[in-house]
Amino acid sequence: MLSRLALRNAQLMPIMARGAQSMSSAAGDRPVRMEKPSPVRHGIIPEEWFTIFYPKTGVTGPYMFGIGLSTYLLSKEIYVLEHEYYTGVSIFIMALVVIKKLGPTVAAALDKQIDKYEGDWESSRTENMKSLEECIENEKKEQWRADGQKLLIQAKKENIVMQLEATYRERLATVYNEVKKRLDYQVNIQAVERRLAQKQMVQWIISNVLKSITPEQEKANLQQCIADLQSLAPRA
Amino acid sequence: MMTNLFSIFDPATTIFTLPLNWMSSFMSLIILPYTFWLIPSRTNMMWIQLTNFINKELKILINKNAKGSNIIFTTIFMFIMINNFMGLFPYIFTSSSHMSMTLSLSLPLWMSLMIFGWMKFYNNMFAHMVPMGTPSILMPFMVMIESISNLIRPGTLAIRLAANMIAGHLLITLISSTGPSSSTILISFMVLAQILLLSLESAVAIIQAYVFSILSTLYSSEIK
Amino acid sequence: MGFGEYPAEYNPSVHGTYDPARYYGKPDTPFSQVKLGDLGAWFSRRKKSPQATAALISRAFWRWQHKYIQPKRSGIAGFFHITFAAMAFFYTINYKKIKAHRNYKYH
Repeated sequence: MLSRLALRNAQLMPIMARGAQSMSSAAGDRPVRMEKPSPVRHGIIPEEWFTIFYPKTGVTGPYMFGIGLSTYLLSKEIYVLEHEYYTGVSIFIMALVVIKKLGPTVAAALDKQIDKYEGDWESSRTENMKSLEECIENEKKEQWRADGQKLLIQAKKENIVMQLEATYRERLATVYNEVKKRLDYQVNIQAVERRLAQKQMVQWIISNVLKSITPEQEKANLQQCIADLQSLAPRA
Repeated sequence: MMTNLFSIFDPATTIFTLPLNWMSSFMSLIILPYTFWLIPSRTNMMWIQLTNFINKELKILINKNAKGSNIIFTTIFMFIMINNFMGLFPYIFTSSSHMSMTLSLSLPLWMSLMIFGWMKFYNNMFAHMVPMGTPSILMPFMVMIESISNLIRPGTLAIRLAANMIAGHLLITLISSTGPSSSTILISFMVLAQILLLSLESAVAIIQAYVFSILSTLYSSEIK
Repeated sequence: MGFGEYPAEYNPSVHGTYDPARYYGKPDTPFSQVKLGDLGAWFSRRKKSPQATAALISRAFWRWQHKYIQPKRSGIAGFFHITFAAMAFFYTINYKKIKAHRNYKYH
């Protein structure tokens, strides 16, 4: 069991190591662009040439070196002051004037162009990102709308269920009423029959009794009634 | 004192008299800015602006059938301009002041245009011999004149550039050769005159390059 | 052919983007920090071949470029470096001609 674990770790190790290595070095060794050029003094001489002298000779070191070197070159006529030198003097003055006057304006115009160029790239990137984000937002809204559809369908289902129940109840009531009507009919028929039978029986009994009353019975009944009345009269 | 007034035009150097001075033609390769980043730096941007400006000027002149040839004319302009402009600086050799260089620029251009035109568009080339609207009596002379002017075109292109460069440099060298043997006040006057000359020269440098490329463009657009 | 190819020791997954100003060989002390006594040993360790010399010149050129021309807000210094270097170069090349124009006989 432990050996399998060790084997799995051993398999994963080179992958992790490769991933970590490529992630760190590919991002870290990228050349970075400087924003401003290396500092120069008097427009052309790099600052490093000056700072080399500072530990040994101080601030005037490079200037003394320059003056000494130029004096040596001029006096030994290693640097000959011939016609080209005077051309150089004229060009130097001209270049100085032009750079001092036109330098900042040209630099500002070029900066504007550079910023416009960079702005185009940057804006295309950000606008693309913005449009994609808007798409995501719209997609989410559409999903929310679809959810709303679900609620709608649920409401419709409930509505239908209610309708079904209502019709069921209606039919139930109809059935009840019909059945009650029929049962009432039967009941009424029976009542009518009974009433008729009763009436008939009463009629028959009365008619038979009246028929069976003989005259002696009538006279006896009358005598009895007069006797009863005579017994009752003195009491009143 | 100068050994020879024209010694500034001598391509021979002192290293076993090898003509290493011609290496000033490589200046345009070194000045050409390299594009390492996406966003151009100020130097890059200046080069791009200049090239775009020249390209726009030349683009409208070339024939629609030869649409890719504005690249070569723009390149010729930049090359000649850098050569001319760098030659103004003190010890740098002006390679475009030599006929050998300017002729080797203009002759292949013109020859290729002529060979292409005459082989493919025979009638059209003949039609260019006579300008529009000449009276019929003058036509033989017009043909002669036009054909001669056509034949000397490479010569004119080369000589114009070389002569302008030589004249300018000669003037500057002459005036500044009085420098070593004059007093300080005279030197200041000389420097003043030289400044004027040099401003003229820098303008001439750029203009000559422009003229060369424009004319080559026009010659190329005459062929159908 | 050999022109315009990456150096043999360059590895994109290890080194990242190619920088023409970097030396991709075996790490060694930079030239500015070599002691004078070790100079012979240091020199014998380096590769000496035409391709290596060309690579050295190319790396120096790119290092100069990265400092003075490639930054976004570069100035006129790069152009004048080229100009002054060319002037010095052509002066040294034409020195014997110029020596003939000396103004003074005794120095």
